[in-house]
Amino acid sequence: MATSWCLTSMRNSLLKVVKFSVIQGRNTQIGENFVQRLKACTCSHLIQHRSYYDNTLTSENQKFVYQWNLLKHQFGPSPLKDSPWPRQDWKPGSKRTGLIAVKLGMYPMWTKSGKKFVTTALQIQDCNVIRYVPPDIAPGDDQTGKNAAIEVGAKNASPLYMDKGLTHKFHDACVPLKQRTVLFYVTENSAIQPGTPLYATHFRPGMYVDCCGKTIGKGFQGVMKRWGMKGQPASHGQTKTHRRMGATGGGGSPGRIWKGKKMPGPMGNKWRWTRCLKIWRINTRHNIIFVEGNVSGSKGGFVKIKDSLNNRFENDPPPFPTHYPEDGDALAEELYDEDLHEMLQESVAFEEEEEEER
Amino acid sequence: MKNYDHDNLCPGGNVRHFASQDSSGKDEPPTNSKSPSDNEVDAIPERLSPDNKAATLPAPKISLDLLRRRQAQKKDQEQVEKFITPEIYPPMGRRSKILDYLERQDCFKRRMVMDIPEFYVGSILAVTMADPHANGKTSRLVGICIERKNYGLGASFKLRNVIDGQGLEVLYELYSPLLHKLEVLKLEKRTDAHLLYLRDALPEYSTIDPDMIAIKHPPGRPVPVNDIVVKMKPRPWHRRWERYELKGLDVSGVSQSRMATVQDHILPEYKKMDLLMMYPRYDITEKERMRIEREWEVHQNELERTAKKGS
Repeated sequence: MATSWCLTSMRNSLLKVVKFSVIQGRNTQIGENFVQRLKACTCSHLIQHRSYYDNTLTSENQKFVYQWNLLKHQFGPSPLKDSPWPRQDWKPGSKRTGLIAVKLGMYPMWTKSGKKFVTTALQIQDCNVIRYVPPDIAPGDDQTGKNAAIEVGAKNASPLYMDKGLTHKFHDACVPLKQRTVLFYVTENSAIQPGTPLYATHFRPGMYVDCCGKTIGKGFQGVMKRWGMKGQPASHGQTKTHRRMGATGGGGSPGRIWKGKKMPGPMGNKWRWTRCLKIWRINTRHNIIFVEGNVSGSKGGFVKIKDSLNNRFENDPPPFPTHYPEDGDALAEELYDEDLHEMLQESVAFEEEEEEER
Repeated sequence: MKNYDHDNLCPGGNVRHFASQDSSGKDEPPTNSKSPSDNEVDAIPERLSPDNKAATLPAPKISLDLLRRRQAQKKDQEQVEKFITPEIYPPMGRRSKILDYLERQDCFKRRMVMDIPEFYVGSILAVTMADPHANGKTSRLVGICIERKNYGLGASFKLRNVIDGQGLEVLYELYSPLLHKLEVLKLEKRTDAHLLYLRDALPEYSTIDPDMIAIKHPPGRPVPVNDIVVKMKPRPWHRRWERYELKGLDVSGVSQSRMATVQDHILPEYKKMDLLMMYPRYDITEKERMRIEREWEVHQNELERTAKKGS
C-alpha cells in the first residue's frame, strides 16, 4: 500500500512538473515523450484507482442521485405510453417469461393432514421487463428461429457504480437501473411490452416452477469433498495418502488422462437448477413466493424462476402473458394452496373410523 | 406417585409459591418466644417474618408507619414484568425483516385459534394432541417442561415424565396444527435455563401424577421460582453435568478428580464480562425490539377483544 501510494504521488508530481515545463515552453523535445513513458510505467499495476465517481459527492447528494435515478424515468418517453400491445390467449406449447427473485430464507409450513415441511421464501423486488427480442434477432439456442426472448431486470441499482455502456437498455425501457438482468426464451405469442412491472402473481399457488440459484462458494477443494471419493485408510502403513485421488486412468494404451477426469478444484459458486418445486403460498402485498424444499444459493442471492414442464395448464391456464393487476379484481393478500393448513383454521383432527364387521 | 402432593415433589427445596402461602405461614415456628407480643409485631406479614436462620435473633420493633412504607416498597419491587413469549425474538444472523414479520404474524394467527398460555422451563404442562394411532384419536401427556427451543413457527418444547418406572420424553412443536390443547397445571420457574439433567437425576424429581389437578396461579403476581437442588443417580451420566454451571444440581457426589477439571471447561470471569464478546450476542437493535413488543401488545388487545365478543 505504502509503496504504491509513494509511486503514485511521485508519478503525479513528476507529471505536474513535466506539464508545467511543457506549458512554459521548455524541454519540449523530451516533454511529451516523457509523459507517455510515465503513463506506460511498469509499476502501473501497483497504482490504485482511488477516485470513484461518488468520491466528491456528499452523502446527501448521493441519496439525491439515487432517488433521482428512480424518478427520472417517469418523465421520459416510456414505451408504456404508446398503445398497449395486443394480448393473446394461452395455447398448448406456449412459453411464458420467468422472473428474478431474491432469496429471503426458509419458512416452515404444515399440510392439512398435519405434516410439516419447509419452504423457501423468494421475494420479487422491482422486477421489470426491459427488452423484447423478436424471433428473427433472438440469439436463442433454437435453430428454427421460432423462439423470441424477453430480458427481465430486478432490484434497483445505484447509478454511481454502473458502467455507462450498460445503462442504454434501461433508458430505452424507461426503468431505473437494475442489478441483474436475465434473458428468458419465450414463444412469440407471450410478448410483453418493455417497462411492464412483473409481480409474484405471475404464478399461482399449486403451480410447479424451476429455480436457479448460485451455489455457495466452497473455494479450492479436494477430491473427497468435491466429488465424494473414498480416499485411503488412516492407518495400516499409509504414507501421505489419506485424502488423495488414487489412480487417474489406464497406462500405455490411452497414454494420457481422459478429459473430464474428476480432480481437485474450485467448488461451488455456480448456477444450479432445482426442478419441479411446488408453490404453496403467495404473499401479494410483499411479492413473496413460498416454494417447496431448497433452492441453491445463500440468503440475499438472486434466483431465476420459470414455469416447470410438469405443469398441466390445459384445464387451468396461467395468467398470460403475465398478471396485470390493473385489469382484473384485486386479489387477496395471501393466496394459499388447497392442501395447506392456514394458521387461522382450526387444529387438525383425525376422524374415528368405524370398525368393519366381518 | 399416586398420592401426589406438589410440595413433596421438591423435598428440602424452598418453594415460594403463593397458592400455599397461608398454610406455610401457620406451620412456621414462632419467631421468638422471648420477644414481647406487641400488636405491631403481630401485624408483620409472613413475608417480612425472618427465616429459620434468623429466628434465633430477637425480632426488631417496627412502627406501623415504617411497616406500611416497607410494604409499599415491596409492592413496587413485585411489579410483574410483562410476559412476552421468547420465540418471537429473531436469533442473530443475516435475516430478512419482512420474513420475520410474516412469521410473527403467523404465530399470532395461530394463537387466535388455540390458547397458548405463558409457561417456563420447570412448569408442569398437560398437552393433548391429535394422534391417529391413539384411542379416541387424541393423546394426553402430563410432564415437566425441561427445554424450550427454536424461533418462530419452529418453536418447540420438551416434556418429561416417569410412567411405571420408565422415563418418557416427548418433543412438541408449539405451533403445530396437531396440537389441540395446552394446559398449565403448575406455573413455576427453575433456576436453570434447561432441565435436561433430570434424565440422570433420581426418578422422584420427574415423576408427576397424570391425573394431577391444576393449581391456579393468581393473576398479577410474579411467577414463583423453585430453587430446588436435585440429587443425582450414581454415574454413568449422559453428560458431565458438573461442567455446565447448573444451580439446581447437587454435585457433592462427584469425585474430586473430576471436579478438578471443571474449571478448564467454564468460561473465565473476565471473558463473561467482556463487552466486546457480549456485543454480537445482542444483535436485535432497540428499535427492532420495541417494534416486536408493540406487535405483541396489538395481538394481546385483539385477543381480549375476541374474548369479550365470545362471552
